[in-house]
Amino acid sequence: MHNNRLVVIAGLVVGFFGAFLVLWGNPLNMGICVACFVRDIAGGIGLHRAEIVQYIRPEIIGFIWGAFLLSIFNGEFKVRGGSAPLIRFLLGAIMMIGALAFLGCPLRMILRLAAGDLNALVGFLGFSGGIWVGSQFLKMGFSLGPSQVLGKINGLIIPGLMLILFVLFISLPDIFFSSTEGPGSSRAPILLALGAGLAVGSLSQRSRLCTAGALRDLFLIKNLHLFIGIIAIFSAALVGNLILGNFSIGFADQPVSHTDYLWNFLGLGLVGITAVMLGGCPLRQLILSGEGNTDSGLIFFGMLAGAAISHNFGLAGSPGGLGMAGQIAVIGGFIITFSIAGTIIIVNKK
Amino acid sequence: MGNNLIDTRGLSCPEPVLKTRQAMVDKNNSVIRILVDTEVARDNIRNQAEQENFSFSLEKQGEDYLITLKRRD
Repeated sequence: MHNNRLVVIAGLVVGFFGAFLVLWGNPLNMGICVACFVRDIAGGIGLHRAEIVQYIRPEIIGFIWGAFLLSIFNGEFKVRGGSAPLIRFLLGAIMMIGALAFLGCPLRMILRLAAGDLNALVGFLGFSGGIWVGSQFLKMGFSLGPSQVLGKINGLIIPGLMLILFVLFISLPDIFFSSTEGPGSSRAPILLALGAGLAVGSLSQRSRLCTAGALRDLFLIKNLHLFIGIIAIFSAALVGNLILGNFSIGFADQPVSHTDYLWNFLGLGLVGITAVMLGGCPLRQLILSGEGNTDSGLIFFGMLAGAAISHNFGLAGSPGGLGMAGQIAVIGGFIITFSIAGTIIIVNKK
Repeated sequence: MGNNLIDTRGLSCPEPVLKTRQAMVDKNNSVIRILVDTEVARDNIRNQAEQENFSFSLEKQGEDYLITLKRRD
């Protein structure tokens, strides 16, 4: 089917950049990671002071601008918003806390898997479980309610802010916090990173690629379409990693990861549930932000806040594992998420 | 507009296609009409119609789309 071809092309391009951005300077097994890169931007603008993860990642700006430009071009730029904004902000923050407990968004999970990191397999099981739970919520009548049509200016806020951020970043780089060691200091050249972001952003806009939607559609409507995109990401990244000699299979000593099985499982489980409740994975939220969806724009802000909370309070995973504070935060995230979902389901039933 | 019109405008993914599928599963529905406001929902419903053996027709109504699905025998 014509549609499948698009999602395969998008997946292959994401997988290719996922592998090769590492060669060009990004951290190992982190050619692309939406959660990590949003976290780096949160650090870059000083929302948290974890010195090893601060950088204005041009890829994120590229994702949003790629989606923005293509959606303007193909008439899919539609400005909407006002569907449970505060809940979306909160769930965006919780999604981020879960991702940083695992050390990566679902996209990085696929890239880690394609580099032989078996901890990502544990994460994948958790993610699938979370998507399954979120899908049950939807079946039980969970909905954050319809959005409204808003004036065009609302949809320009996120792309506009990204443009300002980028212009400031290239003209006055010293005003931002910037890592000199650790993952935040491993960077692909700015224009290459931006270009990769634009390619991934526009192709994801066109194909609706979504790591959460892939499994959700499989569970809910027995539709394989988006899952084919995931297989494409994995395949391209696997081939790329083998070419680059960046493949070693096992659990221990994998780059920017930990072997705390339970918390890898639960961290991405929390991402799975919140992603289904929010209508898409972290990458998809950025794409929707570019397309004029201000609810997703607010989720993006929620993700920035979640990253700040995560690093200011030591909730993020590290190669040593997930500390007590992070474990409590993940459990707390589940409690809040289930409370919100449960309340909405009960109210909608009445 | 009949009372079997499903209005999915403004709903996040995958609610439009989910509501459509719920209507498809009910064998009493031979014709289903859905109002959508995004191309994503439109395309998802088109894919789903193909998979569940429904015919698909589309009518643009301003910014929105009115989709009519008919069960194939």
